[in-house]
Amino acid sequence: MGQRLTEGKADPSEVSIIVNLSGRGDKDVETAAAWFDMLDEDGNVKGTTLSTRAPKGPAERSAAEEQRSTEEQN
Amino acid sequence: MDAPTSKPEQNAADAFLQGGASLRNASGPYFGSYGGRWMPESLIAALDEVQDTFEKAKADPEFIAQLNDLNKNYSGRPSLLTEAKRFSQHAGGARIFLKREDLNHTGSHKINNVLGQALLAKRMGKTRVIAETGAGQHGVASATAAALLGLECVVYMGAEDCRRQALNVARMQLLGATVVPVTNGSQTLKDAINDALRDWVTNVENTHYLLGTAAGAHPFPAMVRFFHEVIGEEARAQILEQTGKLPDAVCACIGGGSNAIGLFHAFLDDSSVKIYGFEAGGDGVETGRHAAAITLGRPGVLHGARSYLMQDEDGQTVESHSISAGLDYPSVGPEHSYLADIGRVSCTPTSPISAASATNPSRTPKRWTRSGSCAALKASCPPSSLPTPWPAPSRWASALPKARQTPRRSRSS
Repeated sequence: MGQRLTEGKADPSEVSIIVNLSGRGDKDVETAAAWFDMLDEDGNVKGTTLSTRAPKGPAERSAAEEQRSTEEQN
Repeated sequence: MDAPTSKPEQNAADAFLQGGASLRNASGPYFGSYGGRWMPESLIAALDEVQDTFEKAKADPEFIAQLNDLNKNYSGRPSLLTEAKRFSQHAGGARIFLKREDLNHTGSHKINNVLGQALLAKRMGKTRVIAETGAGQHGVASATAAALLGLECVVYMGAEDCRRQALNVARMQLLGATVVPVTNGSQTLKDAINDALRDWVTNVENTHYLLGTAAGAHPFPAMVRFFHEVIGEEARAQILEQTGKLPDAVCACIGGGSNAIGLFHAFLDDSSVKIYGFEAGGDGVETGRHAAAITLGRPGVLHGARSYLMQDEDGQTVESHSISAGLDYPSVGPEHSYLADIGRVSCTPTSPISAASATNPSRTPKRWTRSGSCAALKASCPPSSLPTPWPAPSRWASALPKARQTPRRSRSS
């Protein structure tokens, strides 16, 4: 749009455009990270254990801890 | 970002403004042939009450002072107008100014409207508010306003959106709201609004429906716009202060259209300012998986208002699609339909991916490349291309007895 509005202008900086930035965009971080190929198959940022997904709740955490404990015992 | 397209009736708005008329402060219920109140009879009294309370409140200096105080000392207004100097190289050298609604409390423009409506709910003596939410921004804002003013809050959210936006669900619950996952239909915003309307019908005596966008039945489009007008008023004053002149163009994304109408309103009568709305192009308008209601829809009724609507040959609402949960809505606010029809606002579908890739050319975007007028697009993209068998309001209205001239039945909600 900027390129179209500045076409034929001797001084394009005379053209000004206001864009409404309606929100912070944190809701779109996972979508953008996936598009830019930044995530591994578990949803973690590649090469890290940083996840863009929601943190696990107490029930999920205890289930995961139980599974890990069972694996260690075995 | 693709080149803006224009409606063929581009000169209608210019002629209107040159005649000294104003496009601002349209009060509804109709915006041209769009809008209205296509709702079940059981909600008419509630809508009348909302309208009456709103009209009295906006003329009440005490209410306006209370709202202004919350905007300043709770939301953090005025929000900044920031020049994105390094972005100019991607925009032909034009100066780009960002109206920073992201800096408001709760992180989006939604707080402007919910504070106003929550104050109205208190004035009406309601103890409970309900809301729908897509991305969760309106739900979070509603839960926040309800917590601030001591109101019970229930938020309807599509189950698919709950999954996509789990953190916002947790945030609403932490604020004391009840989040109800909606499992009907596509489990997104449209279905959340359907369930919220069902709740309102059932609990209308103690409940206010805190609708989050400039759509729905009268008075919501005009009322939501009123609470968001502060965006454009601030932006207009700030750009004059920073550059000494009005902008050449203003633009915003349009889902239901609340942030867009809030910005556009202050500039509607400035004929030198071009206004652009960008709809969600989804996977591409040719695929049918998009949310470009104005560009490719045809007039129909959804959630109490007549507006551009994505529908099939039989008039059934079709599922919209956008990776942005907040834009995933198959219709649009009626005032946007009117402004697009008269050529005051140019609407273009664009893919969020193409917008994102503008700053990262190394990625090959899956982008929409078609350009041309909306009319040409409509003619080339079924199923939304069928002519609308809808009589002009002047014809059907004159054919009805006076008592029945206000349509009240919704076909779709």
